[in-house]
Amino acid sequence: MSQPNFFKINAPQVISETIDGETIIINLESGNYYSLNATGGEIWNRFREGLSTDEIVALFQQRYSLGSRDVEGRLADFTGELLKENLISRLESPPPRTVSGGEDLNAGVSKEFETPRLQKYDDMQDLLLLDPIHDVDETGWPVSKQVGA
Amino acid sequence: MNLPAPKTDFSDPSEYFGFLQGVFQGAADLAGGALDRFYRIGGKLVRLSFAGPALIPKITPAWEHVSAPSGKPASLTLKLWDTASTGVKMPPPPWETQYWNPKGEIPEFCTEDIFTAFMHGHDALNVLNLKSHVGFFWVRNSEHIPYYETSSPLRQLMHVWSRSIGLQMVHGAAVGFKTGGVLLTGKGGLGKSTTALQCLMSGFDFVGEDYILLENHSSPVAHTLYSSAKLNADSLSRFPELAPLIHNKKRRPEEKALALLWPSFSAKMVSSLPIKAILVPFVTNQASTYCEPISTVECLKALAPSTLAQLPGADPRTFFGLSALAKKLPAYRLYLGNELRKIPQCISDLLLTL
Repeated sequence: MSQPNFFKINAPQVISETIDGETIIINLESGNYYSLNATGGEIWNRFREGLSTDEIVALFQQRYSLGSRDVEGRLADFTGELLKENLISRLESPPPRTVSGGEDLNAGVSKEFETPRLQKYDDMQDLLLLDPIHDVDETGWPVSKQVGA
Repeated sequence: MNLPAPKTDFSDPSEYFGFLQGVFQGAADLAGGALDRFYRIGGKLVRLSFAGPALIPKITPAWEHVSAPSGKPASLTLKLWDTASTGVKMPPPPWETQYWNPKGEIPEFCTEDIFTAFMHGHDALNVLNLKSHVGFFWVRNSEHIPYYETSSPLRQLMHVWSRSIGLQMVHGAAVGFKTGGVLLTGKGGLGKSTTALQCLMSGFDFVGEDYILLENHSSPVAHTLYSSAKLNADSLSRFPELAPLIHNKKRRPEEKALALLWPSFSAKMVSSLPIKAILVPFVTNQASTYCEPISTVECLKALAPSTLAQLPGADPRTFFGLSALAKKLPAYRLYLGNELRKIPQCISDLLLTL
C-alpha cells in the first residue's frame, strides 16, 4: 500500500461553502471560482476534516461496493485538478482532525458512485486584470497607463 | 509645495496614518481651509472634507441624493486632496513596490484597525482608520478621476467602513416597493442595470443599480449608496429619457454614459428597501420574461465573485456574509425577454408571491 496522502485547503485565500450538497470554492487571489458536484464536495470536505486519500477511498468503497482501483484513479485525477488550481496543498504529515461545521456531507449523495468533478469559472479575470501595467513617478507612486496617457 | 524630506521607514501603519494627517492639513491650509460636505449613508452621517474645490465635482455628484445638513458629529470623516490643485506633493510611499497587488491592497500597511490600498486606474491612495473613523483619499490630479469613480465614488473606503458598521457593500441593484424588493446581482453585462432602470421607469422604488449596502439582519434591507447609472450605447438607446441626465456628455468612446438620476427621479429614489429575494438576470432571445428558482450555491456564484473581485478589503468575512444572505433569501434566475416593458411585471408578480 502506498503512503497515505494528506492535503490541506489553501486557506485563507481559498474559501468554500457546501450548501445542500453543492459546493462553491473561491480563490480570492486569482478571482477564479469553482463548483463541485456532490462527490467532489464530499472529498473536499473530507480533506478539510483531515482524512487521507486512502481513508476517503475506503469510505467510498464501503458505500458503493467498488474496487479500490476504480475509486483511486478518479480520486487521483480530481486531486490533481485541485492541486493544479492551487486550491489544496500536499501535507508531509497528518493534519489535526476536525469536523466540518454545519453542512450535511451526505446531502446530494447519489446511490451510485459519481465521478468527482470540478467546474472552473474564470470570468472574473477581466475585472482583476483591469489593473494596468504601470510605471512609477519620480516619488515612487505608480502611474497607470490610462492616467498618464 | 514640497514638504520637508519625509520619513519613509514607517514601521507602524498608524504612524503613517498620523503622517498623512499632516500632509492633508498642509494642503487644506494652502487651499484656505477645508470645504466640508455631509451625506447620510446607511443611516450614518458621513463628512467629506476637501482641501480645495478641485475634487468636489468629481466625487460628490452621485451622492447628492443623500446630501445632509452639517452640524452633528459624523460617523465617518474622509479627507480628500489632490496635488495638482493644492501644490502639495505626496511624499514617497513607505512600502516596497512589489507589494502592489491587483486589487490595490497594501497588505503590510493593513491591520485590524487600518486599511491601506492604492487604486490603480485613477491612482488614488485610500487609507482608513477604523478606530478613529477617519480616512484619507489622495490623487495626483483631480482630472485623472475617471467617470466610473464619479459614478461610484470612494467605494473602496465605503466598503471597508460599511462593513465595520454591519453593512455589506454588494455589487448589485435593488428595486421594489415599500413592502419588499429584490436584489439583482451578477457580473456586468447580464442585464442587471437594464432591469433596474426598466423597473424605475415603471414606477418601482429604486435604491441603486451598481453598488448598494446590505443590512443582513433577520429581514435583509438594502440601503442606497449612489444615485448614478452607467449605460452603454445600447442601454442609452433603450432609455432616451436618461439622455438629458448624462454627466459625461463629452466622454471618450470607451467610456459608458454616466447618468445622474437625482433629482429627476427623486420621487422614486428611496433610502432603503426590505429585500425579499435575490434575482440573477440572464438575457434570452425570447419575448417573455420569467423566473425560475435556483439553488443557494447557484445564487452565491452570481453574488459573491463579482463583489469579491472588485472590492479591496473583501475577504472570507465578506464571502461568508454574502453566503449567509444567500441562505436566507429565495433566489431565482430572471430570464430576460426582449420585451423590456414586461420585465417589471414579472418581478412585481414574483414579489406578490413572497
